[in-house]
Amino acid sequence: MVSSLVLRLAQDESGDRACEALSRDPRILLGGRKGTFLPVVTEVGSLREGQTLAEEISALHGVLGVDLVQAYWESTDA
Amino acid sequence: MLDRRAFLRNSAMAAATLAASRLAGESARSTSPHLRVIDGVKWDKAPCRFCGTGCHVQVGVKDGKVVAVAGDQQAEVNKGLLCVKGYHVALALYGKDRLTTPLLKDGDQYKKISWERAIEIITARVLKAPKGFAIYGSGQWTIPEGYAAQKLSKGGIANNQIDPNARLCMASAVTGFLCTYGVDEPAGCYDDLDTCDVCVLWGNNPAEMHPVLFSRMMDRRSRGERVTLIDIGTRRTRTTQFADHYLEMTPHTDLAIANGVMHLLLKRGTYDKDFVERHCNFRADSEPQELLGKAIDFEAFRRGLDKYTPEYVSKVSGISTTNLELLADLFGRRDLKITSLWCMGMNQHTQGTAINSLVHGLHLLSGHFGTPGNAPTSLTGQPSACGTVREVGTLAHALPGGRVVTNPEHRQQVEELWNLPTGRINSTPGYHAVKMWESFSTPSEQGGDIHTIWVQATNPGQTLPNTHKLFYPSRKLQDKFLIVSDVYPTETTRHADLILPSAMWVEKNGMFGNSERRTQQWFKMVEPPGEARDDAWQLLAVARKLYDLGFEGARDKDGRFIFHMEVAGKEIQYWDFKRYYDHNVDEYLFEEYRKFTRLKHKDLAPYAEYVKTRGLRWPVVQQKDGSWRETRFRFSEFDDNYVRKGQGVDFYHSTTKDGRAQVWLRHDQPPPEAPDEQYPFWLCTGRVLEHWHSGTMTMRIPQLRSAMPQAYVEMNRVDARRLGLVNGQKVRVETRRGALDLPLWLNGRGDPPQGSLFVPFFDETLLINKLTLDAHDPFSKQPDYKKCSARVVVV
Repeated sequence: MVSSLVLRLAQDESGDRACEALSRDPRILLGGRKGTFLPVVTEVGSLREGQTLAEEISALHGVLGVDLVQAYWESTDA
Repeated sequence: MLDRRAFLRNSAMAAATLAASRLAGESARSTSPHLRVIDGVKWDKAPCRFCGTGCHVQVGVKDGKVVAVAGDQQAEVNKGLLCVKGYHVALALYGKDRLTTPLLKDGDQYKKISWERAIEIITARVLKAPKGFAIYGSGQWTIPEGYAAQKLSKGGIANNQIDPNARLCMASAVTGFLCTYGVDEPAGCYDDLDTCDVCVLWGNNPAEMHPVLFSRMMDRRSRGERVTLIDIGTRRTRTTQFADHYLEMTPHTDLAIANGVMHLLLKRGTYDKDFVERHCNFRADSEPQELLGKAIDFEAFRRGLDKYTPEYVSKVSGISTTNLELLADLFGRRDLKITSLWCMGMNQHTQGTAINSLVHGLHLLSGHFGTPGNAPTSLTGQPSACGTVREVGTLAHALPGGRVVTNPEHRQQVEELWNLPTGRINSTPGYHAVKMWESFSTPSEQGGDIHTIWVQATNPGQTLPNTHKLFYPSRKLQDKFLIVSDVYPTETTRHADLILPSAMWVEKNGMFGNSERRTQQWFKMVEPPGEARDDAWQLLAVARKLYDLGFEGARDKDGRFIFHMEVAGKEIQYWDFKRYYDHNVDEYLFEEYRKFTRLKHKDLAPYAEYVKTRGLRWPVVQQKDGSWRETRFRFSEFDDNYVRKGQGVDFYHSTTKDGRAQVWLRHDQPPPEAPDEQYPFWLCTGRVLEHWHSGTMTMRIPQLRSAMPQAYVEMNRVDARRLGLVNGQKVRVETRRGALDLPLWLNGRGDPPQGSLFVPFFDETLLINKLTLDAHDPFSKQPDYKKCSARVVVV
């Protein structure tokens, strides 16, 4: 499953640290930051993993919000 | 050469980057070129199936199946973003237990029957006694579906026995608009959220219920803009976490708060004298009570508010005098733009009409009206509560386009447009939802004159209040017959006599109307499973069968079928389902309905205009160059074509016929039930972020189900400690109407104050509406799901 997300980052150092943490995760591809907004693409094996990853990202210190943009899946199995 | 995975990643990154650029305020291309590059996927637009926000999604179809969704970058509502429900919306099509064939109850079992047999059974129920055949519809009906049901009920069966589930969610907003402006639906729109300085949330939790709209405001903060959020509520929610001020009130005291703010505006002289003198009249409740009340003068209004001193309001409501004064300070400032939002907190209320009218009155009195950012705006919970229910008029008293059955001129207009014989339309309103189900659950010999209800696109077995009284008794009465058209098994289908499998969302053509007067259109993209068929077809097929059987109501005054449609002089035989999509039946129905919309200046554009756009907000007015222009700010001269020149603001449907709105004096009254020694808690019910309404669709989406698998009861930790309860423990919630065992959730997502409980209603295995109250507002007939008294016992 491939998903597009936009993260709303904190304007302080915690936003930068969240960015660094995300960049180390092989499931996540970071785009170019637009102000406090960061486009990212996630790629996981199933819908359930996609949900779990989105929750992990939301819980990161420095991530104020996660907006969902697009989802592509090949199977509707969980 | 890119491999396929890289291709997908690149297109996904293009989508995310485009959305991020727009959020950051950069100019970005509004088209969605990235969508076209995904291999073999065909994209088309559709509004989201879930709430009343009206987000548009791009739906990707491959090999006859939806394989992708994307926030629609061209959509003004959601600007390319989606909430967690919208993100998963397409998966609602693919639950494993879709209904795929008509089923007839046979003893304790259901047997498969043909559509022909199902249609015969329904028509037989109509012909048995037309007066007692009712249709219970939905704010999830598409506009053409609702229009077909409306015409069948009012113009065909002619008994006015049609009412929707929207009676349970927004009827008080309707009566609030009607008694204030003389015409329904908000003057403002979502653009107000982009420009307001202050947003007052009246018992509203948009962070969970309308997350995309909430994000619009939060994204402004991320761009460095200042937006002050004031959350007036009875429990802390996710919205509270982002609020600048949280004003926690005792349930049912919102009228006192609104009156208290108006009292201070008058006392301080900070109301908008010029706006009031030019645009407002004053009104109070009459005896006996009528929706339009009686005229009073400004002095009587002022005197009526005398008792709402900060001290009195603080004592009644529990909010501090400082916070009340804060609200009065803000509303008293002309340099600020203020938007109010509300949804079920104000509508599901035994004084729902009154509190709606008071919030409108507060905006009118303070002049926070009619310019971008200044608006009182109700939000809807369903995708077409506005378009289908309020505009098409699928309510027991209504006719299309803002007309009512009790008005002889309105009946005549509708009879002419439908080419019906004079006198066909019944002048007596049918039963509102609560009364309809009460009659259905009452034995015929005791006056229960509704013998059959046909439910479409809703789940009353789970969502009616006090279901022990309103839903279940009918299931033991031999002569009562329940027909249900739905997409999945529900609590309602489990008790039905006849179950019809329906097509849903992009399995059919459709049109919705969202909370901001925006009419939206989409085309069928995939086939429904098995023998599932469009709800509109089901209604039209029954109408045609009635015609074939000689039922007079199915004929117009020239003897033709009331749903006659023709192309090039030849009748379309769309009632044969194989031919239903030979022509666009939706377009036919919509173009017929469109003729009704001008009376109340809710003008709609031709169908083709909606095909081209992501919706248009009515009134949509044709320009001299032939183009069609939507209206964002109704009643305001700078934007609304119907405002008289030089008026600035013009309430052109004023109930006093002088272009003025009505500011109401309405006093707070006791709730129908309040905590006492036996039942010491307030019980409030509602929704959660992950699930939509009764969970019929969202509980079939594994990600949403796993994120929020079952209902719970929220309780304050102090109460729990006092009762010796711990997190996760099963407890029994009891009211005077029933009991339900639920896991306790402390320190959860919401945080009720001491003495309060909250239970969501999405879980079909834990039916909280067996416990709720069916007391309702005297004008709107909308029940109060937000407060009754309850107790908690250890299981």
